[in-house]
Amino acid sequence: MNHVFKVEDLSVAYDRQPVLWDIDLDIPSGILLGIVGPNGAGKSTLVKTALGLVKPLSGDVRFMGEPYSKVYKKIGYVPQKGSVDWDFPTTVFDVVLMGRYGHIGWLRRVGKKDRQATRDALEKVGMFEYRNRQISELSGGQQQRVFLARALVQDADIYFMDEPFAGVDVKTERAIVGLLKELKANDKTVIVVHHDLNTVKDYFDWLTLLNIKVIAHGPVDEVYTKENVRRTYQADTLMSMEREINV
Amino acid sequence: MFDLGYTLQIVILGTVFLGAISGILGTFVVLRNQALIGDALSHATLPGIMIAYMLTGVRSLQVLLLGAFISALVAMFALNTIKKYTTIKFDASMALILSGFFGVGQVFLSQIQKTGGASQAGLSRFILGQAATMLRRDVYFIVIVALVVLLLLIVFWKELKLYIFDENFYKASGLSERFISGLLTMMVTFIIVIGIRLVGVILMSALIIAPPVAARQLSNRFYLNVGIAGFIGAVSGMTGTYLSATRANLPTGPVIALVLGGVVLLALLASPRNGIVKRYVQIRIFRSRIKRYRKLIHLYENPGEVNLDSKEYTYFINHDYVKVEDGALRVTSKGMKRIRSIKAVD
Repeated sequence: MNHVFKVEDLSVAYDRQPVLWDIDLDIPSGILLGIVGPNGAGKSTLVKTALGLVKPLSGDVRFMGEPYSKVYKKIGYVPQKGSVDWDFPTTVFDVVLMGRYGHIGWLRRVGKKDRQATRDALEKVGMFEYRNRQISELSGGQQQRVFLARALVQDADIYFMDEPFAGVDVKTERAIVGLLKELKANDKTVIVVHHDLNTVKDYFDWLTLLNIKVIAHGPVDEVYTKENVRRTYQADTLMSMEREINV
Repeated sequence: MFDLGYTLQIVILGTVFLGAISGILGTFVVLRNQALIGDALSHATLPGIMIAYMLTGVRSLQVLLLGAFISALVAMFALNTIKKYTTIKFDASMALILSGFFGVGQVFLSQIQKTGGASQAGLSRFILGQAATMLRRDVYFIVIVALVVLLLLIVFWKELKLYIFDENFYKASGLSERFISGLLTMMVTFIIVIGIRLVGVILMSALIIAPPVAARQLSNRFYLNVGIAGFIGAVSGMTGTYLSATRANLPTGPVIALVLGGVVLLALLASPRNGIVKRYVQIRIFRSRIKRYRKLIHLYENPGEVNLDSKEYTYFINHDYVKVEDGALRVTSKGMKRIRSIKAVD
């Protein structure tokens, strides 16, 4: 299998508090991977480090053998929806169009193709009628669809999504799952930070159980065992106890 | 114009440009939640002005503003250093820088005033601003800097917009953070530096913060926010300068700040989005409707158990909100519609 995303010996700390410790991951192309773990397990940090948003203490992240700065046009990103101010004065269409900016580049204007891609993506997530809406008027599920559409116009091969199911309605959750499976069917690799253990088996074909360290990583059928899950969530209580003692 | 002297016309031209560009750039700054940085930087220019004067002994505006510029950069560097190496909260460090630099500037100023001769006169104008006494070439200098910043804003419009809306996504899109944040800081520093002679270091930030705050009340579109803020800045700058120049010796900064304060207040009152007037009217309408239709709602929720006085009875019957059916009062479909509309006051 072709490995599109590889993490080696990665450690990340905020101040002196380790958030990720000695992470090794090999991610083959064309899979739908869930990253699951308790709060504070470093799931978001792992994604942010992969995208160069957080500087690691040590270790290496490669995409198809290249560093992020060489392949960013091939990578799509759905940040946590709480990471922006939804009262920002702009429209749904504009936010989605922003997904094209990295491709358009400096000093160039938005073109017809970019607008068309934006319309297509909005259509795909069922938000086309809302294109002229002010973003503060959207529900949680609609906000998430907008972010998803913005990632779609990035026209990427690998997608990172940080909690795309957080705070969305059942209908949106189903729509997003459908979209993820469609991306996979088109040979895209999708890496999703997720928090709901109950849906892991239905949504993903690969699973990473994470709690500061990688507890288990591989195809869902092999990784999703009672023992592994217990170790992931038990490690959390141990770690947090250690943390309290350290303080 | 109102029969102003030629000099005053030129000066007003300067404040119109300054107000417009401050409001335009301010929209980016305020939406990035960095309104206070402008305030810290403008206060921090004061020691630079004084040091430039002490070193050169000349009162040329360009030399003094160069000092102001360097001083602001030092302050920015100090801010970033504090952020990086200490656990002091960012707002606290801004307050530290603001008061520290301003204090040093004031000490220098009083030293200069004690020892200096006639040439030091006018340095204190940088505190609150004095537009009327500006030279024509100083005004041209302001206009040119304002146009350069405007051009930069247009050229990097889409990058700036993405950066202030979603910094992480901006970086993940492969765009350079160092460049864009440096550009933003540079532009803010430029605008502050050209503004302090007109508006003064204490109130310069009002010109950056107030127009976007007012504009945000009036529009939900980014480019309209920018445009309205520019317009408000220009009009306030013009009005403030005119008032300060034609009334006996009022410093320009406070007058502009006063005008801006009035504009913000008006915008808060009249905003179609969330204005105080709109909310007040809505609440009044809601209350009066509840009073008038209380019994109708009661009848709808508890059929049969209502005592209408004759006035209410005729009113509801005449408006077709209730009808008598099998000897009992019932709410008609028109009445139900009425009840539903009460809950949705818009």
